[in-house]
Amino acid sequence: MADKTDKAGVLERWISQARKGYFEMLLLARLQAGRAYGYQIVASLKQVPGFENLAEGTVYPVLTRMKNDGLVTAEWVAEDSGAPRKYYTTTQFGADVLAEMKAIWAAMSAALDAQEVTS
Amino acid sequence: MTDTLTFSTPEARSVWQDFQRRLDWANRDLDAADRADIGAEAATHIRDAMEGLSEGDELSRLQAAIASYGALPAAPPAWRRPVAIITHYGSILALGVVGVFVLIFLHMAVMEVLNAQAVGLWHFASGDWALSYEAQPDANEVLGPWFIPAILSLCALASALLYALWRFAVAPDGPVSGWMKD
Repeated sequence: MADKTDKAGVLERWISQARKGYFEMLLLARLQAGRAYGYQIVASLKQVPGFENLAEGTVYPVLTRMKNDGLVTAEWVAEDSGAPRKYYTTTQFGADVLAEMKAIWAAMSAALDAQEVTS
Repeated sequence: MTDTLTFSTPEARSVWQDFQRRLDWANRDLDAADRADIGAEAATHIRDAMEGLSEGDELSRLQAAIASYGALPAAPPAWRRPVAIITHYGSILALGVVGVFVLIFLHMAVMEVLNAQAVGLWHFASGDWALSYEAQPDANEVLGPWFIPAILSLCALASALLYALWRFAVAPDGPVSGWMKD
């Protein structure tokens, strides 16, 4: 049985699990707003509560997996100012998956609210 | 796409090369193309991160950018894989050779029951020793009735050691098999 002093630890563990759960959804949402390269995506994610201390390198294996799953496409683009950058864009499949994810998210939120009303 | 990051000091180059080794090791489960792509992306990411840092020299900005990238596991030393391969195949050879001896010793234990006067551990007057199926001239059999318990104990000990060796160096889910894939 966790006592009050364990609250921070319990929350930290839950947040860590939850973060993994909606990481891909956040990435898809960011890319649906417009194509972006890795550093831009990381900068956007760091604005999201809970992701302020994101280890920046964790984004790339996830983006690679999403690319292999057909959720995003990636393209190296030569920049005028310097070295080329790899830009990511959502595919139609990725947009459909994001819409489903948002629907599930909304349903979960509604179910949570309903629990609070009935209890 | 190739990595185009260059540094002006040997210290920074060394830190960067260590980072690249760790990154490649961290992504070892990906195929070669994806690993190369992530390596090139990391280079552009570190460059962007360093450009965003206004203070400090090249080395300190590189170290800060790498720290923000996140902790990466240390890559194993370069010698580990070849040593693992030698250990793996050497162990298979040892399992075969020692296994044959265990079978011979078990056979001797059976033969001791059938021919106790001949089978045994013989000690020669010259000081030499011999395990033999036949009685040896000018030699004394030293184990007598203890031959079977002694040789079965030896077989049990050898079998246990062989099993441990198999688990460590040969089994597909053992550590040496894992190191061979590094």
